[in-house]
Amino acid sequence: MAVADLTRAGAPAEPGRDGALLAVSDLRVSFQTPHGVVDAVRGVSFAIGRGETVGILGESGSGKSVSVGAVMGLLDSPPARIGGAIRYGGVDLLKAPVRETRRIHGDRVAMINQDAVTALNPGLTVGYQIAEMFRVHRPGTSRADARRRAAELMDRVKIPSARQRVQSYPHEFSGGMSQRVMIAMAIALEPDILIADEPTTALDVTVQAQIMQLLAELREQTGMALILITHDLGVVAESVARVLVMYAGRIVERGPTEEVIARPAHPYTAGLMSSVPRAEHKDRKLATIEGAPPVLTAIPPGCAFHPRCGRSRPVCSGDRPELEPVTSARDSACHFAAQVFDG
Amino acid sequence: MIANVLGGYFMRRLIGSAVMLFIVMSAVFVADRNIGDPARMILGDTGTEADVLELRLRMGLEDPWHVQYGRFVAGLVTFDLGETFRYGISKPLAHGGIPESRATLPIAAERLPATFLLTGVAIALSVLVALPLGIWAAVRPRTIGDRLVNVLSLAGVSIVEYWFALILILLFAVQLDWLPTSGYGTAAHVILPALALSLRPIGRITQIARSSMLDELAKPYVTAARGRGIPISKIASVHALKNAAIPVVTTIGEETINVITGVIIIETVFGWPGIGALTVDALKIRDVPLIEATIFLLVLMVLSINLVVDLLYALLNPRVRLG
Amino acid sequence: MAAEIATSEERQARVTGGDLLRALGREPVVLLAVVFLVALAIAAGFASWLAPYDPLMPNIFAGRLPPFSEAKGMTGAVQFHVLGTDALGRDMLTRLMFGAQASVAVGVVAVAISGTIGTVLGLVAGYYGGRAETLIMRTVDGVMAVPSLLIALFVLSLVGGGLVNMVLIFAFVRWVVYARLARGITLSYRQSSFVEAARSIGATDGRIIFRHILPNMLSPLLVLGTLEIALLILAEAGLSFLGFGLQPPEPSWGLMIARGREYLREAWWMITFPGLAIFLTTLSLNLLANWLRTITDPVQRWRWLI
Repeated sequence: MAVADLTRAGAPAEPGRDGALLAVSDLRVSFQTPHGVVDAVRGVSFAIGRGETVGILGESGSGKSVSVGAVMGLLDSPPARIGGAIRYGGVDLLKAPVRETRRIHGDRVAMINQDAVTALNPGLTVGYQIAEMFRVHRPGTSRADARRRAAELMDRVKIPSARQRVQSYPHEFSGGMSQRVMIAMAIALEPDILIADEPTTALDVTVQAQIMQLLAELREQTGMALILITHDLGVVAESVARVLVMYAGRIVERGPTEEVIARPAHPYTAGLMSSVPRAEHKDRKLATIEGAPPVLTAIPPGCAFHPRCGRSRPVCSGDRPELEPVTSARDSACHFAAQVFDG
Repeated sequence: MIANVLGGYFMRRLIGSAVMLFIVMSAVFVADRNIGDPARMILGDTGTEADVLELRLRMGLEDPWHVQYGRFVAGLVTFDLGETFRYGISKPLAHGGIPESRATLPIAAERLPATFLLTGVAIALSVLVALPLGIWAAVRPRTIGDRLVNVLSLAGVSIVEYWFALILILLFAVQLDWLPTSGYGTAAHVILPALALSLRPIGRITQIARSSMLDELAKPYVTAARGRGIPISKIASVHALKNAAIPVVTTIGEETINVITGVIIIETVFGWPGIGALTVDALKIRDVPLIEATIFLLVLMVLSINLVVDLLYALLNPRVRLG
Repeated sequence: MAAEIATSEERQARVTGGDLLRALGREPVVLLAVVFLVALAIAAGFASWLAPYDPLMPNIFAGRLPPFSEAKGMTGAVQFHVLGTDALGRDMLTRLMFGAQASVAVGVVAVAISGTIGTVLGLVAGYYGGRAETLIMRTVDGVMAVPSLLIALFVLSLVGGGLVNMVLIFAFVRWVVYARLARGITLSYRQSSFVEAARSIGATDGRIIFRHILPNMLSPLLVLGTLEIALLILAEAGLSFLGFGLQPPEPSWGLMIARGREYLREAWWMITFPGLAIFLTTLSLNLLANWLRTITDPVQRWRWLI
């Protein structure tokens, strides 16, 4: 069913799809809240192959973080209601028992969070927290061995004087150093896939570049795949080969990063591009997207973007556009994708 | 290095506690000597004016206040808090003359072991029951079990200890005749008073353990740990508990102090020969020197517990430790 | 992640009185507690009119009658004693209602006094800082270092018991908890953007304190005050039980238990009912405070309003 969905969408073969490591199909997530049902993710499908890099681009509330939350098994239900399938190596992460998914989470699929400072336990040493990865996922690892490998990992993520700082507590680390500790934990077991959820948003600009540089180096060394969640077009442009653009819980456009940036095929993507300052157009006034992202308890019918879209026609509020191919490598969910693509 | 920092912290807190004890005892001194006449209180209405005057002379109450206060302060340092002319004295007062006397602090101090025993059993019982109960409830929030624990712990906090003690006596001693109504000496004697004293700390510690575990389990580091595939049981028992322990330890300290206040009534009800019952006796016969001695020891106990709690707090919280 | 979404949604809506009542309706235990407290307040406030008999007049022919007994009163009329009589033949229910008067009076008045003093001193300490803060907070530390019950016991043994003395002593030992809370909240708001904004448009200190800071601490103060009433009712009963609080023949729940203790073997109702009265009152107050805290906590509130 899930695979059939992908083919029905008619999207041509993307690199890595056939031998997909992780395949998300028709993922739906909603939350019960005092003010109604929040539809956070409304049918998202994507796949990632070995060694691939994919960016998920979207504003806050677009559903990108909730999607990876579902992948990592972080959503409590209730209040979350989750539908669809997330397959990793023959296991459906949404249906498999916890003892099975636990072997994948942190081990084969690892994640680093936006705010490393709060994601570290203030009461335990960073060495303990890194070593715990081995103790939990590789039973039989001795305490001393785990600690030694924790120090090696801290060295590897370029934490200065790692050996002395194994015994330090998180509050003794800066934001950037905390993020390095998170990365050390994530790569500890050499995962197939690293999910980075806004890994640099909470950091200073100079530190951001260092962290992205480190991630790129580690990826080169280990060959792991990378899913990068971000709202930052610049980060996407520099770090990933493919990009998915999300809006109001759905993928509205996807394709190779360079192509999507150079020639968007969805009005929302086009809007995002023109709101980024560029050196070559420095005399031009920056455009913004009119209006605000929809309230998730009341998503507009048809294309969710239509109230903010300059090209909106009656059909846009009536029919919801599906993700369909624009070129062999590109998909867009817009009734007028061809016109947008052609400028 | 940590030991040094901790040592310095400990010394500062120790001096602070000593100053506090000094201030409290000074307040007691002022209150004692300005509200009523201690000698008249001791001799009662039947004592003659001459006897009162003689007793006042012997107690040093006729000296200028600064001489009295100087002697009082010297007594605090040398653990000599004066003498009682009433408590445990065989020679009756009413027959005129000044009664013989005994030093107060030893009388009060020999009551301490009984109180330590009772307090220790009550707190140990409370912690053993409350910690698992609070954690059990925290990992299943808003279920029937959680709500039941919540209401029961509130009931524990609302309990009227001495009334509950009397109900226990009525049930287990009078009706069923399983346990002694009062007294001291065997293990059976400690059960009912310890039970009566433990309900409130059980309630409070359960509540704090539950709510601080809930707070911790909602924190981002727990979500992050789940994302790393760490079992929920380990997250709760290592990650969350380590941080939740800080408020829990503070609460256990507070509740130990509450139990020490509680023994004042409970020891009276059960005829338990501890410092609480002695305090009530001293207050009832208005034996000022003995009152001062019991208050001195009670406040000393309270301040010592606070000191221990502060030390544990510093040990548990890495941010305080080096700060 | 769910919480993030829900709380950001929450900010768009204000909680109304109707929401609160509906939420209360979904908490049967709390609702029961509120009903009990209202009934208690009525029983205490109108005891003189509602109580069936005289609380002080002994009836030597009707001593220690079990619940549901009938007896001939001193006037000759037949009296019915739902909860039995005490050693002097006085109706238990009547004495419980008058005992409630004493408990409620001590609890509410002492909390009103200590709450007002403590809040004002805490606001002053937190807002102005400096030497005033040092003096106030040192005093707070000092009073808090010694258990309140011990101070009350000591002072009452010197000056004698009675309603007024108890209220004054409770106010003296308990203002510190409000001062500590008020100072903490004031400190956290003193540097906040809305206080800075108010200051920048020239608002006076008084206006900032009373219009901007005080309203933000009313909910926690309300919760604390409710808990303190429960604590003081327990303390009043305890001190009276020991003989240092209210004095006979004053009807007080604590005194009633003390008298009942002498007849533990013969008349179980003499200690059971006054003890239950104290227990149910403090339990109801604690349940109410617990619920108020949850419902006024912006982080937790959304969970309970679903």
